[in-house]
Amino acid sequence: MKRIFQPFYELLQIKNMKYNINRVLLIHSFLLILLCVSCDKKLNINPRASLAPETVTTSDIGKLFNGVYDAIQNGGTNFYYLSYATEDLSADNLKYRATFFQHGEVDNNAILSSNVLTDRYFTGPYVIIQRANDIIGIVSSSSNIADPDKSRFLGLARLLRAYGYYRLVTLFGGVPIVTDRDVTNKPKNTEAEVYQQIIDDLNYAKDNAPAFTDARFGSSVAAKALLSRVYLIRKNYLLAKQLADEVIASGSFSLTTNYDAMFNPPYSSSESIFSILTTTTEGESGISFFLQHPNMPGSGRAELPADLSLVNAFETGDIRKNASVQEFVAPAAVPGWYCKKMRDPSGAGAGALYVLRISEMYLISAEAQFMISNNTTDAGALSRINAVRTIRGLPALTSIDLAKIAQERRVEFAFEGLRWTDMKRLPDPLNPSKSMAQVFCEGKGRSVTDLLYPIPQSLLDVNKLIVQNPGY
Amino acid sequence: MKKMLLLKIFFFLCFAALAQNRTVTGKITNNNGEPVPGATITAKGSRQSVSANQAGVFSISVSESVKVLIVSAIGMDDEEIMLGTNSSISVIMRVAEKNLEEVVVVGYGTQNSRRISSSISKLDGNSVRNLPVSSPLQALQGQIAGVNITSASSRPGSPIGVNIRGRTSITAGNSPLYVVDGVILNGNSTNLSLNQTAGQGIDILAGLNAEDIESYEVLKDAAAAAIYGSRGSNGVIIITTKRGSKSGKSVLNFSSYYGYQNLTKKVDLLNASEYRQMYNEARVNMGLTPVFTQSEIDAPPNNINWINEVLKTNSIVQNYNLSVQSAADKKTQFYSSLSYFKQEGPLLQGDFTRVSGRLNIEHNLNDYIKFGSNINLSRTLRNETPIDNSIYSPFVRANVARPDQPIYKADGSFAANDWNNPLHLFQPLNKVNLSNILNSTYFEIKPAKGFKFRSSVGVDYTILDQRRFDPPTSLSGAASNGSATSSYVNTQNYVLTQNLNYTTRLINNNLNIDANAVYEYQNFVQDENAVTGTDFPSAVTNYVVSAAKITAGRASWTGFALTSIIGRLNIDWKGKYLFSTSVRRDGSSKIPEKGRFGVFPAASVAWNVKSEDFMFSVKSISTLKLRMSYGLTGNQDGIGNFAARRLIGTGFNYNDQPGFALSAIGSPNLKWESTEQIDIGLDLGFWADRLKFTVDIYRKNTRDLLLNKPIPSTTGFRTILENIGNIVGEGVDFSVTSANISNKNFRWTTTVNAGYYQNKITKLYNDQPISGDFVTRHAVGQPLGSFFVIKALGVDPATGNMVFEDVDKNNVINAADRQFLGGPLPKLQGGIVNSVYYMGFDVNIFFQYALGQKIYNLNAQGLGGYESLGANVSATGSATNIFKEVYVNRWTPTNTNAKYPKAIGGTAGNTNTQSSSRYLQNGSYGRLKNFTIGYSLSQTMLQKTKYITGLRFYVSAQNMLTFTKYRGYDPEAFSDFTVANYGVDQTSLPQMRTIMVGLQAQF
Repeated sequence: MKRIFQPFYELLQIKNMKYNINRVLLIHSFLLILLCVSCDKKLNINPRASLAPETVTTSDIGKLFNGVYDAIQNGGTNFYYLSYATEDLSADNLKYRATFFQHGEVDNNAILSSNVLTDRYFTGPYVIIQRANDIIGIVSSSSNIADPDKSRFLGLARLLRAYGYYRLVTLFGGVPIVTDRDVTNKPKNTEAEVYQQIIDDLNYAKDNAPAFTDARFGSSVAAKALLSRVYLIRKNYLLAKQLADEVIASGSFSLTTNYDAMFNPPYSSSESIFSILTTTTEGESGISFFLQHPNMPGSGRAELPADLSLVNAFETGDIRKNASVQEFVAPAAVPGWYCKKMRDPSGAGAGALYVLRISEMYLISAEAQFMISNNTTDAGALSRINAVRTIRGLPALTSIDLAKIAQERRVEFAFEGLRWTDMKRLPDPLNPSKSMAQVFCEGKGRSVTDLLYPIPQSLLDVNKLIVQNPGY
Repeated sequence: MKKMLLLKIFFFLCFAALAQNRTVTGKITNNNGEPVPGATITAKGSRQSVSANQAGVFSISVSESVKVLIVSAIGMDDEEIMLGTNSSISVIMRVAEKNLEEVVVVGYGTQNSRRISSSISKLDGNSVRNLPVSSPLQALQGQIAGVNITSASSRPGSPIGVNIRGRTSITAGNSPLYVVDGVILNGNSTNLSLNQTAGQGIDILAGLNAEDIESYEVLKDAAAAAIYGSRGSNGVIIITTKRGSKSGKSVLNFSSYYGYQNLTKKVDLLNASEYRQMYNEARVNMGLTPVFTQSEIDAPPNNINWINEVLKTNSIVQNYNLSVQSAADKKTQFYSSLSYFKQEGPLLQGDFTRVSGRLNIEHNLNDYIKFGSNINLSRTLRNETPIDNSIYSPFVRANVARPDQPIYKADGSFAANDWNNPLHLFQPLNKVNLSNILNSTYFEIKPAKGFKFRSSVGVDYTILDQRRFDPPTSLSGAASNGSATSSYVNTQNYVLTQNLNYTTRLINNNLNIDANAVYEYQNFVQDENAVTGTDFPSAVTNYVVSAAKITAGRASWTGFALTSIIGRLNIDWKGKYLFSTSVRRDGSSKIPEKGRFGVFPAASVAWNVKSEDFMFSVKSISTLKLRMSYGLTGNQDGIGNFAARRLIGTGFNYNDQPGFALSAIGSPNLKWESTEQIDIGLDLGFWADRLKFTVDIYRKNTRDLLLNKPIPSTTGFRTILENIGNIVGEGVDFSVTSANISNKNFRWTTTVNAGYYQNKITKLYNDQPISGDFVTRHAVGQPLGSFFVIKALGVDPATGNMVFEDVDKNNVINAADRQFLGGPLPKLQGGIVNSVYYMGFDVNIFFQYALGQKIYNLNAQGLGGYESLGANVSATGSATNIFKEVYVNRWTPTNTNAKYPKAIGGTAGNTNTQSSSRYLQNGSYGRLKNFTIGYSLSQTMLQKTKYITGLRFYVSAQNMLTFTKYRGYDPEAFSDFTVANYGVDQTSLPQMRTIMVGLQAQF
């Protein structure tokens, strides 16, 4: 044993000996090793294209909001932009022609729970919701944001979150309501609960979100307009009408005589309350490319042509027809009618998605007023619907009913993602005990359970608390 | 002591110088009775000495006073012979025991082979240095039991797949750790901008010149690899480069080879007439009218053999190497080399060039301090064609392009082909260049007796520049009017190692102790820049500067760091009872702080039975060692540098304004995959190890597999990286080396090695199977990456269509009918090497084999596959070309018991060619990998030249013969080494057959 420790004994005698290079070296060797052992903090390496969440400050809130708008554009996944055409495809405005068989399932109202597109239409809104939740979490827990700013941030975040839930509830019915990113399995909330969540958010947002400056960003008036739409869906006609009228009365928006110009770059219009624009730099929207004919400006792949019933729905003289659809005849490849509204003449993946336009407020006001009065010659209702019709080059109506309102909404908002919800909530003219959508589905041998999309199988596999929608 | 004795004897002899002389004759043999030529016989105590002749016979005249003769020979123990009255003696020499030992490089040190208790295989670099391959790794193929090496393809410079004792992981990587002169290289997985599939990936060792390599050590069991802790699960390959010479003379080496290369196999395709016949048949069989008249079939306007068109007639491989090895010098030693290697790929375009220079230098400042530095500078240049799985890949398209469509239009431009004109696909440029500095600098001090401290800095600095250009005239660049991308990836990898070693011998030198304490810090950073532009004015102006539009740009940074503390203790008693234990504590920046530090222990024991007294009399057995080891290792290669973190990322922009959003949800519980391994081994040698066996049996148990666990998408994310899942693997490594004949002028050595291995997944997340990209699936109870496809039962003689097994008996053949039908890893693989030397001639025959694996021939399947038999045919769609063998053996009304279905398009064609076991084939093969005949000039001939001390010429052939049932191009070439696509052949370029001549000269 002594021999092992011999060198150490020698070391200890260092005080009474001459300079000895070997011993000094040995001591330094040990010291070097000991020094380096304390280097564990070298392991704290941070990425340079990301931040740790705890380092985000209030000055970053604006950038976080850009992140939410980004989610509305792309849902954090590829092809999410196709979700903005899915209502029209499920309904009678678009039909399936080529490539993605998942579009065929949507068109046939025979969606499988493994459909990877509708799966993305489900997860995309949750990306919107969770990014808004992130902001709500940061703002709520922050002590250094002044109260007016705080409520403004919260108002805007809750508007965008409500829009996420709106997209979910209209396609999928009841879904889980989540307020944070905890990796836990939550059961579905009912459809009514989700609507209540949306209404609560929008009520807060309409009072607190920033005032309207630019339709590319959310505003209190956008919250009001979306809330009006939600109340209409929930058949709360009094509030729907009240809010729609308030938005019209705000004076920020007006119907335009040049319907076509709205859909051209730079996509700004006096009608626009809230729209999501994708710039050519971002270039991440492919909806134009999917819907357009190859010969149209910016090209296209003619995947989803317009349904002929929509083309025929335009009355003679309607200026919206030429702005909305275009026909290509042989010898052009894939002849037929195609959507002309989702324009991207740059062909760079740019364009606009219209979330809310003022004409909708006129038509909500008309419909709500009609439902309240139940009078086919209700002057208030007629004045609202005729305001839209006359500016679109059509004669004024002298009587009003739900079928006429549905028809007007169909041509006014073709390809703008409202048709399927309209068909689900409005009665069929020939069979008023059933919705238009139900009759539409049953006409194809499908059933009422096909009105809702299936909850994605990928979620059911992970979260056993979720019950699939009936019929799937 | 010995010196003193010699001195005393010398003085004694000085006084005895006047005595009378006598002559002693004798014969010297080894313990097998074979003569020992050239042995030196010295009269003890005098300067008299003679050499024995070729027959071992000697005659020496000594003075009467000499009582003892000392007989010595290289590799033998010295013998002292007492001189009696007999003037004729016979001497039996024994092989020196120390000669059975060799120094083996283990992690952070070296060890005597006799004292090793774990499983480490060593390969001498010189034995594989003259193979015409771009990577040193390819030279290891088939040489070491349990090491499975696959070349991706014959694209020179492309990655080499290496699995040591199988595979342990799904997502964390299965490549071993590479350590070159103590510098731990970083795995391939962090090359940011590169597509990792074969062809565009990069061989991690492409910058190394095989001739510079002194030895390869493969750490196979966990006890050996655990010294590398969190990165040891897949084994470790340690490469040591050459140093100064051990002899007293400086040596200048020049070596060179030059050879021609061709593909090992060319599959026969249909000619234009046969193609048209098949096309017609496919139409007629689906109820359409034929498209060609008989005269159009008999005399097609074109008849192109596209395979021949895309290949070079002869691809050249050449290598020139000049090195200087200093003489053994107490002060300074060095090794330096310059080399040039160029290999052309088999296609018209594609080559690899390496220029490298090395200087290894070691200087002793004094008896205590030593300084050294090894530096390698290399530049590799590659011209590449698109990856295999691309519609723009010339070789893949050449298999299916229509033979009846022309190459050129009348105006000389490229003609269209329904399946892309393969020659047109050579227009794009893809240049992948690497500049690398690999340096290891150290100083070593001996501060006190038994202590050695070594401090070293390793630098691995790489600049990758890749430039792609798809000219406006190319098929891939036409849509964008020409597009180009330039990218630079700058990688800096630093390793700082402080290593304190203490050795001592205790208790009458019977207890040997060798202990290490090491601290290591590794830092890796990588910068990337890339810019893409489109709309080019011409095909000549191919830099991005000429682009009218800059469409994309990227610059990013990533990095990680690792700190480690390592302790090791080796103890043995008289070299008989060996015990070794080590522990490494790794801390990684990749792992969340909570579980950041991992401890990886190992222990091994061995018993040198041969050293026991009772074995002394068993002369025939020269080595008998039993080994047993256990260790724990980790695997972290697959963990992204920041994968565990919850992060707010950038790039979530709106309205062209910057935006933030949560980009990663974080995996706060992430840790390493860990693998336990138990190994039991036996080393057995006979007759001075002329016959030597090594057998190892092992079992590997991998826990905490890294997997992407699905999470509720309501979180805004779909998956989270977690440690879930287990794999169990087991195997046997076996090798035998036999010196069948061992004379001075005739030597014959045979080495056989074999590795048996199999694995099984025992746990996954909820035991849900994970599918690969095409036809593989990981599932509990199945080997990793098993093939999961519909089972094809053959051709229905009545209809000529394929029949598939309806597993769920619902009369529908669909994805639900898939079943597990074997795995891609060979059950048994290895090599057989025979080397013969006879009177200056040497012959080396190396045969390699791999048995029991399946290969899925991906590009044969589907409507456009090369076994499709017109499946793509429709009213407007044409057929792809196919393999002739498929055409010849197709079903026809007159050939109803056919191997392949009938030619038909439409639904039946679609069904017949669906993904199924029809394309899953036996991938077993045997290959005559190398056959070399050389001749070395004898010393007597060389003495006339005065300067040349060694000269050898040789002729060598690679891949001359292949024995396989695989119908694709090459059972050895894989397109992709990912665990999801292993064994899926995407028509990667087959290996090349090489004939070359070489020269080695020493001055």
